[in-house]
Amino acid sequence: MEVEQSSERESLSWLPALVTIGIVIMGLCWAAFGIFKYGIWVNNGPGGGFFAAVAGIGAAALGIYEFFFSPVSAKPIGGRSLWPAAAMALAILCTPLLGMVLSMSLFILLWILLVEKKSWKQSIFTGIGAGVALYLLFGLWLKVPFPQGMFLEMLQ
Amino acid sequence: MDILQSLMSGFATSLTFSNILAALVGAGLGIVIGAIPGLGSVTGVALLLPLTFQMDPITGIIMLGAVYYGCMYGGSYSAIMLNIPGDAPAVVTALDGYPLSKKGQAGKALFTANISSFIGGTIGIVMLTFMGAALAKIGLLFGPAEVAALVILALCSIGWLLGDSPKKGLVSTFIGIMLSMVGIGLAFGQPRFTFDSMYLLNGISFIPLVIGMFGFSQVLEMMVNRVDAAGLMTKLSLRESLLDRSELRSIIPTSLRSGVLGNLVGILPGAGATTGSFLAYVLEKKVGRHGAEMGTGRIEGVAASEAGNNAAAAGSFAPLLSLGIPGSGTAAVLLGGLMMWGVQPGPMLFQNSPDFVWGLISSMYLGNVMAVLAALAIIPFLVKLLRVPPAFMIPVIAVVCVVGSYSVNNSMFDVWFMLGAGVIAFFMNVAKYPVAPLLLAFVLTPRLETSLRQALDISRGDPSIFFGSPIATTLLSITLLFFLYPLIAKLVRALVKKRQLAK
Repeated sequence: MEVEQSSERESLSWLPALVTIGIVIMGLCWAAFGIFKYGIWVNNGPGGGFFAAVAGIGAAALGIYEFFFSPVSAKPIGGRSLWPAAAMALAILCTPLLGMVLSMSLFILLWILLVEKKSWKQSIFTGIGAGVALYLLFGLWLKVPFPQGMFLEMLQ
Repeated sequence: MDILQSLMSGFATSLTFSNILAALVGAGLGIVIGAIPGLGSVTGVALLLPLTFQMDPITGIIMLGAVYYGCMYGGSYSAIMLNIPGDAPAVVTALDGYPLSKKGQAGKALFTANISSFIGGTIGIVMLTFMGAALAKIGLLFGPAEVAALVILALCSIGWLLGDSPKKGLVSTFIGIMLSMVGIGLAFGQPRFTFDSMYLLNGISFIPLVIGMFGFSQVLEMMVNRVDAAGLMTKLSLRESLLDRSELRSIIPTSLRSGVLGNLVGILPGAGATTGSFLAYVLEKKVGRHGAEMGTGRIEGVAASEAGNNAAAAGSFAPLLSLGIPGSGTAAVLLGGLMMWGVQPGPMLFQNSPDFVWGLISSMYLGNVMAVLAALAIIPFLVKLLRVPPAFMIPVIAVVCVVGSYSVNNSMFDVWFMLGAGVIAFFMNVAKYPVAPLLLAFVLTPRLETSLRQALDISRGDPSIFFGSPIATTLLSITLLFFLYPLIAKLVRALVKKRQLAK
């Protein structure tokens, strides 16, 4: 287990550098668009690209400095930390089919059952309870028009 | 004396059983709505406005005022307990509120938030009572140049105030500025950085961004650091959540100065509660006894932010009533309500409808008291919520994030955007880039862009407009001092050392 964890940590040690490179690229893009497309000084005042150019150049310059002169030691993390994002992406993809409330209830139920390894009883109770609370609070009281999903529409 | 008499007659109008009940219900609903991520005070007041159509105008406005206050109280709860700010001003509250929660002091943080909200709100209402018209006139002195100078001051103090590394804080600030550029440009009406997506034409929606960057990234963080909240909370009783005398002594001066500053910021058109809470936090970090420790979980940080934003909320009523100019989004919705009841806010309001105005002002005292009572009564239940183990908290918070971001515009795009923002914020946290400066810059930059453009349009491109106004000059000088302070301090220390050596 220890070996697994340390290899996971090592495998993600490149993440800070990648984040910094992403910031530099974003900064350069914003600066280029700001200067060449939207204009930095138009009609005696800042143009649409003024702030984009200033912030873009600033972010890129500081990002380059951070990359070369300020090496970052990453917080220890493992790939497992991204599981909720992946599982939630799947649940959101199911929304057109199952509707928002049902998808979210299923997400909670399956997460507690499969990832957290809790009992069926706890998983079902929490999943259904959360679904009912969502429906009552957001659907009925606040009238948020949740996507119903093809499944419910077919039943209706 | 006239004011006191008018206020007493206002209390005579507002202190009826039905009005007190309306205030209590409004405060309770406001706290619940404010605590739900994605629903802020604008949504709360807008949602409940139709409910008040059938009511007597004074009862209706009392209820809406209480909803407004309740929302301001409730916004801090999810920020403190889950690191998901309920609304924009609560971003600043999360900076110290959530670390306190992680230390097992959520109860203390919630009590601090409630008490300082009450103090800030009371300062705001008292200032509105006695100086409402004068305050509104001060607000009018803030033209585009002055507002631009104020926002520059706020923006320049973000990056190096937050986070361990000022350089990384500055990078985050720049990213916030870049993201705020997405959408139709305010000055020229041209689409910018939309990448031909119609979803981005209106710009990036703040609530999905804040829910993703604070809330969903927290879910991912919880997978790494599984702190069993139940273990922390077993020792936490309601009695232990109460503030002791020294803690009270510590937050009262903070709340007082933050309340006064927040109120002054609140009266400025467009400045809003976020700027109020942020500047109050900056002030506390500069002048407070524990300024250096703020951001690590200090009750003074929570007090500064909450007192600042509640006082700003009250402040936004001054231009609304005296001039008919709403100082915030919520005040704009309330303006709609007032007009619906046939009341026309403006300079003649105090003369034409004194019963209504003083009834409204007295109802704000009532709303504030009801909100703090309801808020204090809720704390034991909220603290119990924190006992839920991470195995259940992780999926439930993730779902709250999704539903909260969907309910803002009823758009699945916002949900995907929230998810992406959450993952990116998590990566930024791993690389030790602080997220809060990004969000504050995102909120403040559009105001700066509009004001700067307007100021330079007025002066036809002549930057001397910023130096011709005493207010703008003072604010810009303070900004310059903020930048030069470390250098000056270093020089002074060197000089003192030299003199001592010479002696």
